[in-house]
Amino acid sequence: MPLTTSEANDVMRRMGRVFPTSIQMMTFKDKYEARRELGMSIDAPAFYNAGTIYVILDSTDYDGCTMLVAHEIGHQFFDPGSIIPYYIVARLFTKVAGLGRHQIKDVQLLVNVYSDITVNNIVWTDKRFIAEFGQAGIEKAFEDFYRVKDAVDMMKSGSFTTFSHQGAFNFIRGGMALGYLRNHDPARYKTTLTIMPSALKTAYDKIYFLIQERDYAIREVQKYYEHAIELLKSMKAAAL
Amino acid sequence: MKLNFDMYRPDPKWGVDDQEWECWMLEFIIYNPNYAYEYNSYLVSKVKSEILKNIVPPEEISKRRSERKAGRWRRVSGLDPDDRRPQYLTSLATFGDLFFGTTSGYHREFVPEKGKKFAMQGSFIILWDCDRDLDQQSHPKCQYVQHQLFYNSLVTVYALVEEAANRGDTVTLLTLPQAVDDMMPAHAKIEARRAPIFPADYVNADGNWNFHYDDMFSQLKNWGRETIYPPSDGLLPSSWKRHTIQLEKQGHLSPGTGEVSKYYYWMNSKDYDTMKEDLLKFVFNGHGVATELGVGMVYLQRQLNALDKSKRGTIVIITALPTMGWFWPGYHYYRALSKHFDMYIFDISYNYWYMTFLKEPNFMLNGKPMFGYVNLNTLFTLSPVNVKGFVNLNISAYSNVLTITLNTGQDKIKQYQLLTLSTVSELMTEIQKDFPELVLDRYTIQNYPTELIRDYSMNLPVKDGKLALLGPDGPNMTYKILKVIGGGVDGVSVT
Repeated sequence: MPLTTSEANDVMRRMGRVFPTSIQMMTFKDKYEARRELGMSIDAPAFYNAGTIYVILDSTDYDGCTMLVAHEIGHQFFDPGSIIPYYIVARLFTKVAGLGRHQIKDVQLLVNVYSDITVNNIVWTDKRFIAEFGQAGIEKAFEDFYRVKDAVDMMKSGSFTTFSHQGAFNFIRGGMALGYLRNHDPARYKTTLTIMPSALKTAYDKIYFLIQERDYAIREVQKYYEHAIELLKSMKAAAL
Repeated sequence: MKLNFDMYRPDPKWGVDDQEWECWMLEFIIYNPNYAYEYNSYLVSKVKSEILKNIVPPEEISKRRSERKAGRWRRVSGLDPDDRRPQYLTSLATFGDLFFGTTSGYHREFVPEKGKKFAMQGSFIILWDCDRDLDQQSHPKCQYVQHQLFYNSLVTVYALVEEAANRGDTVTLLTLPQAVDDMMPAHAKIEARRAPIFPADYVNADGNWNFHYDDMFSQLKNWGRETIYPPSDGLLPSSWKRHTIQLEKQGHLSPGTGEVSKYYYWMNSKDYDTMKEDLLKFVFNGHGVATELGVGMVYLQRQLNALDKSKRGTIVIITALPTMGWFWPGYHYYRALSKHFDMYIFDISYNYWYMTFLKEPNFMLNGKPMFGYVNLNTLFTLSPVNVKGFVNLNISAYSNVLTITLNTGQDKIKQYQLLTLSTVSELMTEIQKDFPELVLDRYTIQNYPTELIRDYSMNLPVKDGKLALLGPDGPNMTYKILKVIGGGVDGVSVT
C-alpha cells in the first residue's frame, strides 16, 4: 500500500517532536516523477540532500517512511553531524593510508557504512523516538530493510564471512544484527562477540563506541577524527 | 545553521597544512555545491585575514595621508551635525583632543585644495567576467582542483563591493557571461534581476559598427579571436587589427556564443548587504561560453551616459586576456568612459599586456594610457627607466633558476636559485643588490613562495616600460586589486 502525501507529512510532523530540525521533505508519486522533477534517477525509497529529504511514495509505507526519515535526520543529529566531517574523515584516511585521491569515493562509502550502523542503532533504541512512534513498527521496518533476522541467524550459526567479505551492505546488516541481539538477547550478543573473527569484532566494537557516544562527531570533532581513522583501519583490516 | 569550516579543520598533528586544507575545502565545494554559502564565507574571511596579516606594518586608514595631497582640515567651532563617523556617540565621552583632534567646542571641516574634485558619492563599476578564460587556472598547489579562480574572483568582487560601500559609491555590478545564469543564487528571484530592455541599434563614433540588440544582454555577434601575444614594444600590428575587424564583420551567431548574463546584475545600487549576501550564495556551475567583453563595454557606456558626469567614478574590470581579439575592438567605447572614470583592467592570463596598454595608441587618450593595467599573476615588475645606455632587459625562469640579463652595450647576467630564495621579498632583495639601477615594484604578498614560479621568459627593448615576473597568484588577487586601486580591508588600507 503506497504511502500518501498526508501520511508522509504526518511522519515529518511527529518526527519534529522527537528530533526538532529544520529539515524539509519533498515527496514524489514514483521514481519517474522524481526523475522528471529532479533531473536524476532515484533508486532508493528516500534520500537526503542539503536540508531536504526526498521520499518516493510508492516505494515505502508509513513505518518504512518513518525509518527512512529517522535515519536521515539521525545523520544530522548523531553521526557524522554534517557532511563536512564526513568529507574530512574520508580525506584524512586517504592521506593517512597513502591512498590515491581518486580512492576517496571508496573511503566515503566506508564512512557512510559505519555511520549508517551508528545512526540506525541509536534511532531504534532512542527513548523519545519509541515514545512517539512505538518500537514494533520501526523495528520491523529496519528488520525488513536490512534483513536483520536472517543476519542474526547467520551470526548464531557462527557464519561471519558474509559480513566481512561480501560488501558494504552486508557489513551494515552485521551491525544491525549485533544491535538486534544487544536489544533482545544480551547473552547471545556476548557469546557472538567471543566467536566473531577478531578483525571484524574490532570494527564493530569501534562502531559500538560511537553508538554509545551518540553525537561524538558533533561534541568532540577532533577526537571523532582520531576514532574514525582507527575505525576505518579496522574496517579495512576486516577485509572491507 | 551556519557552518564554520575552520571549526572542522583537523589538528596540526595530522599534518594538513594551510595549502592542503585550502585544497580540501575547494574540492569539497566542487562536489557539494549546496555548501557554497559556507565556503564563500570561509574564503572571504580567510582572504581578508591573510591580506591583513601580509600588510607589514599594518597602516590604519588615516585621513591625514590623503589630506596632505588633497586639502587641509579647518577648525570650526561647535559640534559637527553631519559627522557620520561610527564612533561619534562614543566619542562624546572623550570629546576633545583625544578623538577629534580639536579642543572642546570645536570640530574640523575638510577644505579641498584648488583643482581637486571631490564628491560625497561616486560610481563604482565592477565588471566581473566569469568566463572560462578567467577560470582556466587550477590551484597552484593542488592542480587537480579546478575553478579556484572563480571563487578567488568572487571574493574579490565581494571585497570591491565593501570598498564601494566604504567610499559611499553606488555600485554597478555586471556579470558575464551567460554561464553565470546557472550560478545565480538559488533563492534569487530571477525576474528581479533581469536586465532591462534597451533600444536596438548602436553606431559607434566611426559609424562603422552597428549593433542590433533587443535587450541589454541578448545574443551578440562573435568577435574575431585571432591569437596575438603581447608585442614587446606594446604596439598591436596593423595587419592584425585589420584581420580582427574583418573577422568581426563576418561575425556569425553560434549557440551560446557571445552571450552575457541575462539575470544577475546591479545598476547604481547602494544595497551593498544584499549584493554581498547574494555573492556568498554563488556557486560555480560550469562555463559554456567565452565572454565578449568588448560588447559588454558598449552597454556599460550606455549606462554611464545616464550617470552624473560631475561625480568621480571607478571601473574595475576583472577578466582574462589570453588574446586581444575581442577586447581591442572596443577601444572607442573605453575612450569615452575614460574621461570620467578611473579605469582598471585586471588580467588573470599569462600574457603580460602592460606595454600594449602603455603604448598602443588605441588605448591612449591625450597621450596618456586610459587603463591601469595589472596582470594578476604579476609577482613583481622591473623597470629600467633609470638605466643609462639601456639596450635590452630580459628575464627568464627555467628549472627553478631565474636569470636576469641587462644589456647596456654589454650583458650583465645574474642568476638566482628559486628554491634557495624561497620568498618573493628575499628574491627581490637579492635582485636589487645586483641591479641597483633597476626599479623593482612588488605586486604580490611578501612571502609568496618562489617555488611556484613557472618556466617563463620576457623581453623588454624600450627604456620606459616594465617587465614582470609572473607566477600563479589567483589566491592573492583581492590583495593585488585593492592595493592597486587604493582600497582597504576592514578599515586598514592595503599596502
